[in-house]
Amino acid sequence: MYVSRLVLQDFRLYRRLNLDLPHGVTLFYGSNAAGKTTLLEALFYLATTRSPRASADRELIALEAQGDLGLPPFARLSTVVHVGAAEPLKLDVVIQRKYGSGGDLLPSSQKTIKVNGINRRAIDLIGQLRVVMFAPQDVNLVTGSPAERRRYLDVTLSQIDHGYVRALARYNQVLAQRNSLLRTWRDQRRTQRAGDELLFWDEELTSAGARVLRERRQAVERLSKLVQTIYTEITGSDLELTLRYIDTTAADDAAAFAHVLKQQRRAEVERGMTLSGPHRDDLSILLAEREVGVFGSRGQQRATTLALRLAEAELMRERTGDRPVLLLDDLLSELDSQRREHLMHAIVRPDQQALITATDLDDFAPSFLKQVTRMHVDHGQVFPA
Amino acid sequence: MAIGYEHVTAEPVARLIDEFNRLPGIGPKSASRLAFYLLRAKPEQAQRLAAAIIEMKEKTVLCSRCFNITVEDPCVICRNPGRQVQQLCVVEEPLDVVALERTGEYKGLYHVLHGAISPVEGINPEDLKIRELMDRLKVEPVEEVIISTNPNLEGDATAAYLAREIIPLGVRVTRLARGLPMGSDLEYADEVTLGRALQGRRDM
Repeated sequence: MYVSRLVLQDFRLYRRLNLDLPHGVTLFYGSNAAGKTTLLEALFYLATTRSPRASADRELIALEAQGDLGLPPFARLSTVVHVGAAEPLKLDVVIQRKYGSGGDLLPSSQKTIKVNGINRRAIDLIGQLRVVMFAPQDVNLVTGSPAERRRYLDVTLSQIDHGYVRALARYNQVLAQRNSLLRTWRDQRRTQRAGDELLFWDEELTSAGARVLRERRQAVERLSKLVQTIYTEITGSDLELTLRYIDTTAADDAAAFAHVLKQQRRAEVERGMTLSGPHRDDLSILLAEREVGVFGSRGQQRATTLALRLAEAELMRERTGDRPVLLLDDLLSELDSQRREHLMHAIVRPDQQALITATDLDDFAPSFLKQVTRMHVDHGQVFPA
Repeated sequence: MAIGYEHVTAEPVARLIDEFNRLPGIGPKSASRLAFYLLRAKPEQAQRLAAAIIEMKEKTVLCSRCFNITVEDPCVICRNPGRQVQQLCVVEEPLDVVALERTGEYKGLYHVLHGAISPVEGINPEDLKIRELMDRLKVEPVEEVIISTNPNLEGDATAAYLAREIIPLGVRVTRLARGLPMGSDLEYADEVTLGRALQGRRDM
């Protein structure tokens, strides 16, 4: 799949952008803070309805943005997605601030999503455009907290499988309700009682949770094989790289998960939270049976990260029959020549769209530069080179 | 203030705009449109509106039996001898009663819970009119409780809770069917709705 166009209005430093994109590889270059990463961020947002770096959506709206005629300020993102010979899809997202009752701006914002001009829920947008983003901070995948690795699985699976998005959203919704209830019980020093109110939440949590678990386990099994092959190709080393899903429930289905909840009921009421489930699981990344995040060299960690991202792209291709759009943010400067060579090889091929950012064109071989479209980015404007 | 009307608009108009703006579903733009409409309207129309709002606040109470909003207690539905007392329909909000009455299909009585269970918002069973419902079931000759809470997570949680409490009393508990809206196309139905419709299919 590829995107043929990116339109931005008041998105970060872009007041207005109307950019045509070629099917192949595009290299955005320019100085720091020129707006290169923002282009990739916009496409990531259109694919997942989340920013890879902003913590709140309101940060995405340009500071100078003005609403029309008394409406709050907003940002608009739009793209056109082509998949095979099908009619292109037009995706639009508007992120808008909200006024409080006194006319003051609230910290929250709302988004309106359209697919081909028709209003849709966020859940229906995810997966229409599939992207894999490579970012300099990706090494956190290996060295960071379990949340990073759960997010890696969630972002990947959500774009592949609509049912996964639903199950995960349901799970998180139920989890929030269940935790609130447990907190109330803890604060009131209440324990179990007849007509147990937790039963309903347990049932909902375990049925959504079992689906999430099943999909994650399946994906990890396949990803583990993919990263092994890719890691060997990139590094030429014969060390074994494997992924293992570490689950806090050890449950194979909803009934087993429910049994786990029942057994730890007392502890959960005491602590006022749900103690096991997909929201506490982790992904163990092992090189020769040892945690890469702890025992790996910096070089091994970087290569592992790269392998994880390429495996993510490959999994998406296998499951959807179509290559996702690759977004590579300022990555090549960090890699040594062998790894860079491998990455270039993965990027420059037919049916693969990739958008790359860089500060310095000297990092690239002349043979590579000949095959890509270059665009210069400067202060929120993009110029074909 | 973001709109800046208070600098150019007379203070009483600005105040009305602010009041409208507090209402649900009304943003700053609609608020000023309503205010300026009333500014140009005949004085009687403004009087009628003001009087209607005050009268509503002064003259309505909750029905002591079903907790619907009413002028006289008990409400017209509870007082109507033609209603079937064996059926009791449990809803979240008074507006749901209006919706069900509009169908003309239902001849039983109602019970309004005034909300749904949502621990996140701090709404627990004891915050709803559930104890009152249980009390009614003990004294009224109800044979069937039709749970008509919304088909979302909170509505389902409430329904599950009610079912667990009521079934031991030996009263039949039913839940509104869920499925495809009338006049819709199968191909446009989302998979959850369609899945539920499939589960709830009926013999013909």
